[in-house]
Amino acid sequence: MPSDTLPRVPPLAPAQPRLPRLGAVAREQLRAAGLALRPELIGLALLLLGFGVLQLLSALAPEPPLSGPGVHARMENSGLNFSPGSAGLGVWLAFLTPVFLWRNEGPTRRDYFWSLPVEQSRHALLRLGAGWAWQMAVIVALLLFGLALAVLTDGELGVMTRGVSSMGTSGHPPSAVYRSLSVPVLSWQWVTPFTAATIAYLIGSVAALASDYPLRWLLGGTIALVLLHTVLETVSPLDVEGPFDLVWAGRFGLRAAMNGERWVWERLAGSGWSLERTIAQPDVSLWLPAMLLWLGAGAAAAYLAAGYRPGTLGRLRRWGWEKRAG
Amino acid sequence: MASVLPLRLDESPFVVAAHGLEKRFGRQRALAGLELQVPEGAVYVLVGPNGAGKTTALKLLLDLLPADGGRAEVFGLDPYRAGPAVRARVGYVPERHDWGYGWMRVGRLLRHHATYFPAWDAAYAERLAHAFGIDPDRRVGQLSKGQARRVHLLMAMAHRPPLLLLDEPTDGLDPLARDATLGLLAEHLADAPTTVLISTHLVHEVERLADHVGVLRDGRLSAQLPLAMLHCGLRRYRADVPEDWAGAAGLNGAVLRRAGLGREIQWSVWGEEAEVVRQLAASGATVRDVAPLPLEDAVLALLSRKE
Amino acid sequence: MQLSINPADARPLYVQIMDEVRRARVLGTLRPDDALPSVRQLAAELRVNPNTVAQAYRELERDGVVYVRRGQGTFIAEAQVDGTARGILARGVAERALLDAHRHGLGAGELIEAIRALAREPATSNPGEP
Repeated sequence: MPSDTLPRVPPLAPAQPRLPRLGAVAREQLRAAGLALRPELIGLALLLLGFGVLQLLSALAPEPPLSGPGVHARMENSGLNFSPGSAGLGVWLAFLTPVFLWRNEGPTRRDYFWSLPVEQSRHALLRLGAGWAWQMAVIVALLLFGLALAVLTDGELGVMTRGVSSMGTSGHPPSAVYRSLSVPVLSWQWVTPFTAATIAYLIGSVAALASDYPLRWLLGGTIALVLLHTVLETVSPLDVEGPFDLVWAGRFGLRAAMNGERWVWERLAGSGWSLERTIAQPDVSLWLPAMLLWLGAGAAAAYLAAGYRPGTLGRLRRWGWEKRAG
Repeated sequence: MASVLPLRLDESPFVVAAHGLEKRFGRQRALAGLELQVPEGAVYVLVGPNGAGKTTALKLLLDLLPADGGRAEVFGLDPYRAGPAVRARVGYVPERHDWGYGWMRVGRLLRHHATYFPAWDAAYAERLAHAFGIDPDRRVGQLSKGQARRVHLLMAMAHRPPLLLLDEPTDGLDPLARDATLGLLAEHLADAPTTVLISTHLVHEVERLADHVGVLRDGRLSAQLPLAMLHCGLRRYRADVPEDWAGAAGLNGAVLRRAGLGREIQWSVWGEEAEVVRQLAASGATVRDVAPLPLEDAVLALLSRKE
Repeated sequence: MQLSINPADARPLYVQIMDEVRRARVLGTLRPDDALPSVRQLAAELRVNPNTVAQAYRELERDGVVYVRRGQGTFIAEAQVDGTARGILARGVAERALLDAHRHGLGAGELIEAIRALAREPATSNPGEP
C-alpha cells in the first residue's frame, strides 16, 4: 500500500551483506571466460575437424617415399602416433588465449571490470584462473582427440616420432641430414603439455594485462627474436648462442621448459669449420629446473601484471613519498 | 553583504566528502583541490563546463583512477583502501557508452552484473527492463547510444544502492526516453532512501529532482549550496537607471551577470533580496522586478562569473 | 490529476504543489475524502524529488487542507465554511498580479481600476463567475 509519509532516512546504514561471495564471483568468471573464449574454441574445433579429416584421408592412402639427389630421407607412414605432442597446437594457442580473454579490455579500457565490488588485483587473478582452467580443458581435449586419431589411423600409442636434423657446413656441398627416430614416451613427458601451456598462458597474460595491444608485443617479440637470431647468425655463425640460447634453445630456454629438449651447438674441429646442431633427448633433469624457472617467473610476472593499472606507478611513487614523510 | 558564494554545506552526515582532491593528467590539472560534500539523501547535481573535472571526480570516488593528492570518503570509507566496500554500495552510470562486454548479450550481462550485487532485485530489474524497453537478446556491442544508456541505468538501479553516481545519465536518450527516465528515477528515490550525485549538462531536466548544486570550474568548486538557498539568494533584478548612473558600489562583488535594454538594466545578483533592493534604490535606480532564476540560468550566471 | 508546476516560478516547488491542491479543492475537482495520489506516484508523474511532494503533503496536513490515514494515503479534508481556502487563493493570485503590474511600472490603483473595467465588460467576463 502506498505510504505517504516517507520513511525517515536512517543514519549511515551499518554494513549489510552487500559484498559478493568469492566463490560466486569465481564461478561467474569461469562461465564468462568460457563465453569470451567461445570464438577461439570454436575456431580450434573447426581446425581440428579439418585436420582430422585430412589426416584420416592421407593415412588411408600412403605416399611413396621421397627421393632425389642430396636428400636422404625416408618417411614412414604408419599412422599417427599418440604422444604429448598431439597437444602441441594447444600449447601455441595458449599464448593467444589471454588475448581473446582480455580483448578490448587493455589496462586503459577496463573500467567496467574495475568498477565491480571486488578487490581489483584479486578480480584479475580470478579471471586469469578462469582462463587457465579453460586452457587446460583444451589440452585435455586435444590429447583425447590425438588418442582418437591414433586409434583410428592405427598409429602407436605412447611413441614419439622425433626428427633430428644435422647440418654440416664443411665439405661441398653442405650436407643436411634428417633422421627420424621412434622413441617411447617417458611418463613425465605426459605432464609437459599442461605445464607448457601454463607457461605460454602466463606469458600471454602478462602481455594482455599490461598492454592495450598484447598481440603487438607477442608477435613483435617473436619476430624481434627471430630477426636477432638471423642477424647474429649471419654476422658470426660461430657464436650463435647468446640471446637466442637464453630465451629459446639453451639450458634454461623456453624449449627446455616446455618439453625438456634443447638444441646443442657443436663445433667440429677440422679444416674449415662446421656446425652441428642436434636436439638433445628429452631429459627430466633438464626439463624440471627450466620448467620451474619459467613457471615461477611467469606466475610472478602475471601476479604483478594483475595488479597493474595506469597510475599504479604514480600511486607507488606517492606511497613511497608518504612513507618517507610519515 | 556576502559576495562570496557558499562553498561548504553545513548539513551532515555526508555520504560523499572530498578533501582537497587532486588529479593530474600529464601537465593538465583535472582536479585542483576539490571539496565536494554530498549530504545523505540529497540529490546533488554537479555542473560545470567540459573538462572541468566532473567525470574525473566521479571516477576518483570509485577508485577507477588514483588520486594525486587529497582524499575522498564515501560512506566514511577510503575508495582506495576499502574499494570493494565502496563499490558495493554504489550504482554507477559512466560517461562512456561502451560498458560491460560488447560481445555479451544484454540479458547475459545483466545476470553477470547481478552476481556481483547480492542486493539485486530481480523483479525490479525486470520491471525496469520493461519500462526502458530493453531487449535482452541483443549484443551489447550492437546497441545504440540510447539503448546502451538504458542498460547502464538498469545496472545501476536494480540493486538499489544507497548511492547513485550518474555521469550524464540521459546522454544519448531521445526526449521521450529522457522524460521517462526522470520519472523512473523519481520513483526509485521514493521507494528507498538513496543519495544521488548527478553530473550533467542538461541542468533543466534535473532541476525538479535536485536539491543541491555544485559548480565545478577549473578543477574546483566555485559554489556549493542547497538549491533552496540558490533560489532565494540568486535573483534577477530589473531596474531603470538614470542617465548618469554611476553604478551601485555596494553590489560590486555580488553581481554575476549584467545585461541591458536602453535604460533598463538587468542583473543577476547573489545576496539577500531586501539588501540588494536597498542598495540599488540608494544608488538611484528604480527596481522594477525581482525574480528567481531557473536553475539553468543560475548556473550560467555562476559559470560566467569572473573569479 | 494533472498538476502544473514550473521551476522558474518564484514560489518553491512544494508551495506550487500545495497551491495546486488548494486550487483543485476550491474548484471542486477534488472533493472531501477524495484521495490524493501517493507521494511516489505524484513524484514520478511530475519528475519531482519525492521529498518535495512529501513536504507539500505535510504542510497541507498542517494547514488542515488534507488528512492522512496511515497506510492508506492522503485525503482531502472537509471544506471549511469560512472560505479561508478561497481567501488564500485569491491572495496568491493578487500577489502575482501586483508583482506583474509593478514590473510594468503600474501602481496598485491602476491595476485595480483595470480589473474592475475588465470585470464589467460582458464579452470578457469570467464565464464561471458567480
